[in-house]
Amino acid sequence: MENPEVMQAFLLWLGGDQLTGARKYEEIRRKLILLFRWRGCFIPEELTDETIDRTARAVLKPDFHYDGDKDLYFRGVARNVFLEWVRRERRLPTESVSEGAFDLPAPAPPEPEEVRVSCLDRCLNALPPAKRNLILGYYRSDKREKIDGRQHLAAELGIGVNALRIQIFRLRNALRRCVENCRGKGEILCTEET
Amino acid sequence: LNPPPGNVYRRFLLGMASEEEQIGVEEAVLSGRIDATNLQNAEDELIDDYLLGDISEGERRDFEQQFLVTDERRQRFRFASELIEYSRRADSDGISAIPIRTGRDGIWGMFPWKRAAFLAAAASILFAVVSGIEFARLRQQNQIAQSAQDELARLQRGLTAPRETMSQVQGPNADVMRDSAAGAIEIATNEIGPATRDFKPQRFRVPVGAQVARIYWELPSGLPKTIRLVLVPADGQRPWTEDFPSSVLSSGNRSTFDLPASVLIPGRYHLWAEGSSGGPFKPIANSVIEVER
Repeated sequence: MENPEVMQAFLLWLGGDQLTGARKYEEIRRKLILLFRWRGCFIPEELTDETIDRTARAVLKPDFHYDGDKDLYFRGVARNVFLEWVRRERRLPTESVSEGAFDLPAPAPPEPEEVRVSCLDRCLNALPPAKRNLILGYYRSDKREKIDGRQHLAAELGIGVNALRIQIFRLRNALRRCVENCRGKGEILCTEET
Repeated sequence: LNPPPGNVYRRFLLGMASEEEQIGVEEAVLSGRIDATNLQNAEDELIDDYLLGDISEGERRDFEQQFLVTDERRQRFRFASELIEYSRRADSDGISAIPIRTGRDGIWGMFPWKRAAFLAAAASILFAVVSGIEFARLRQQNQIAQSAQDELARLQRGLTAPRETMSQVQGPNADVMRDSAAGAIEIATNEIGPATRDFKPQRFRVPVGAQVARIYWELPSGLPKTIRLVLVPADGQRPWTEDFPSSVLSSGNRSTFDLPASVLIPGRYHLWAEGSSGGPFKPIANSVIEVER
């Protein structure tokens, strides 16, 4: 959408006025990116932009008429864009390339084991002891013990297994961000977002 | 309309969902009935089940061929694998404190005379284990105290660091300012346009050790009582939001927002301000910024 007038008209169609339209645009763009990403697409932003461009081209045609939910219109376009992408991906040639055919940069050296473990260790130690024990307890059971172990943990906390799972995923996300931060900058910042 | 059941998310992520189920999930996402957390939790659960071997053969194949195709998922897979490995190692080292019990003791009903002997032996083992756990706990507290001291020292170094460590703001409309608080990042957004991908974002670099990001923003005059700042990364994950009373924001039209630098990991963000004087929040302005580290 290079033309500002087209963009303005599209924002008006989306929101009734420029500012509401821009906000709606951002919201729908964010949701479409999530949707493409969850469908396993590794270029979700490109497909999202393609979806929005196609929608804009369609809705700005003089004879365009649609009274339904605009989100659902985007969904229909997004679906087509995704399926086309899948077909394109499948058509890509897959024959093997002889070794040394390209000058590829040398891969980055793998992160030393001690750095990875040390960051996880430091981040776990930055958690309150009860949370640290909780996440370690949750993940130490194998397939056979998993259900019993998790039910027991939930019972000890006086919560249901689903509530336990949500707590664990929140904790685990905080921990993962902390480890990424530690590996990137050497800093430990472990905060659990709600 | 209710959100789809959990096993539908799982099939959707594995590419095994029926046409009807796919449409259900897509509509739920776009209408806001489910958010990033629902599917992200389903992704994490799927990763756990794969790593613990609690997955069918068909799911395993789809997991490897359909699911594990993006860098982000591969990173989360690696992290989960390390966490599970660490948990088991910690368990075998006797560090973890919450025991997993099977809750089955029916065999003692058959041999009651053995129970007393077993309990006596268990008591002495338990004493040794508790001593070990207590020692580990003290050591862990010592580590936490040391970590807190390190963090304090780091913050003190940040506060006394020379100004060269401050951020470099680049791009159109950028107005670089230096503040007396060392380590603060300062951004000036003097021109707010419609937030679209065609809008050229302001770029800035976050220096190592920065604690605070400061945003100067020219908002319209006559601000409502409360201003809400919303920061959404381009991937839609982990939006950050905070409310500010308008009385502390500005003198004149230029408002100042301080937010933790830790929320600004590299990437593109959509930033918008909303206002309310008691009713629902309404949009005031929006912009796009690009963060580099």
